[in-house]
Amino acid sequence: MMATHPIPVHALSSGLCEDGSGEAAALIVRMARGDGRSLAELHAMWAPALSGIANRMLGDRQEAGKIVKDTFVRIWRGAADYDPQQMPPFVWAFSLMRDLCIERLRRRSRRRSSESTPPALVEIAEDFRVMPASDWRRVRAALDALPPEERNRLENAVFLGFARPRGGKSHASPSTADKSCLRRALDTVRKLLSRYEL
Amino acid sequence: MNSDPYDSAAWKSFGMLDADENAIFDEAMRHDPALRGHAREMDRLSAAIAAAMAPPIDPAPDQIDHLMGRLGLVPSSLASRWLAISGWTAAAVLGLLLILERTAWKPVNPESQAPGSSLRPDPSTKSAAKAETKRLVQEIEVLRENLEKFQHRDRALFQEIPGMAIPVVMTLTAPEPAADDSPALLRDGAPSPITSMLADAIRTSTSDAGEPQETPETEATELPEEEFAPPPEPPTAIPIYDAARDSGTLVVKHLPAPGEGEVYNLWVITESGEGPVYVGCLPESSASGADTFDFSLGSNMVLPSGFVLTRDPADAPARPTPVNIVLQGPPAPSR
Repeated sequence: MMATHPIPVHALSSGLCEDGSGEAAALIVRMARGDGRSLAELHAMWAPALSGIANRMLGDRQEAGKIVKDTFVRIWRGAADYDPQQMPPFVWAFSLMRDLCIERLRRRSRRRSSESTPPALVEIAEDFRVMPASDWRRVRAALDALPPEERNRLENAVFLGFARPRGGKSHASPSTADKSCLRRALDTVRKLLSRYEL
Repeated sequence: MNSDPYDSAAWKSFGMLDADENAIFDEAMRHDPALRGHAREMDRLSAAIAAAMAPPIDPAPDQIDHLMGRLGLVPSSLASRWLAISGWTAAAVLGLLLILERTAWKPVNPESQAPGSSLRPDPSTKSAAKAETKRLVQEIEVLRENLEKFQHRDRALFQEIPGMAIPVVMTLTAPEPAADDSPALLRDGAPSPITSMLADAIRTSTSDAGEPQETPETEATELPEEEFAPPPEPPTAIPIYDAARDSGTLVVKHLPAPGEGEVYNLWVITESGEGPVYVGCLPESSASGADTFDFSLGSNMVLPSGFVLTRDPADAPARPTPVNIVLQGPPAPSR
């Protein structure tokens, strides 16, 4: 079979969310060359995960769909400058989308509906195209090890529940107690995951 | 902003910094590799937690089409729709041309050219007009049926039917070298056109000498055998592609081995109007004369109108240009 565009796996740094097969990075390389089909392939790989994350961040499925589209536009336009040694592909896509979500939340006058009550821990099928199976288990184990209060705050923070609106304080702005709780949660998670090189 | 760099990176990642704090953090990150490292670590952690905690949601089915439309890329569904529309349009234009042609070639009755004749309705002309109208109506009916057939054909064209193939076969040949172009194949190894012409000329002059005459001149023109070795066969490639199944094989012959650190890349051209789309790179061939490579285009909604083979550095492939094109088909129009 004809070879794709293998990016040497050894060129990628190790850690969470690595693109072990190099498939995503190879698609981004093809996108940089203007190959529209690779955009469709990457979209098929990541759009469900990114849509789920955006929906949790924004609390609005329709808005989440728009943000995911905007994210892929940014991925397409930034593909030529993307450096897999700096950041794994999915982390790059996540960062682009999170920044868009933060902007969107800052423009909002109303708050999202789900900010105060993060949904209960649900079993999510492991998708190796997003994150290696071993990472899924490690992250979930680390979160399960947290006291519920710390886990809820960390989850809320990751899904931008404490994001600051433009020019003011959100009523969800973290208190000193929230920040202390977040620090403890992050310390625990870092310790549990440190041997896997974040 | 917090003085602890790890805290700052976390608050940045969680969107908890205001605009000023964000700007300060970004500026500090540019100069502080450690802070940059913390920020990346937080991004990894946030991405992993987010992926592990958020149930995936299937995006809207047409999201990818909207996305590609927004980026000026032609979604595959639109491409097939465009083919259907172009089929309709072609049929309509053809029908119109037929009607106009018949009207233009209608024989002129010399009597009708007499002065004042146009004011008097001629019974024979009237019945002829009626017959013509009837004939045109019948033609329009036939054209309408044909249009429906075309429409059905276009709809069915891209549906995979067991046992049916939509074959696309073409030969790729080296492009005609222009004065200012230097096709990749001529850059090294292969003889230049001038060298080939000189060799042909010498060969012709020796063969035109007729019956062998052992003259000193003839002997003098004889060169060592290796200099008369036949020129290398020109390389060719034949893609054989079944659009119904999106399955293709590329058969190459006499393709010289790429240079050190170089690879051959295959591109497809479609009628959508966008530029060549990358298909893949040929793995190093073990056969010296001929070899075959399987490929697919990722969609059975594509009818290729051309293929291009380029030679590029393995780590820096580029879009086809006259400089890196080795073979192309169908041949580019002569300039």
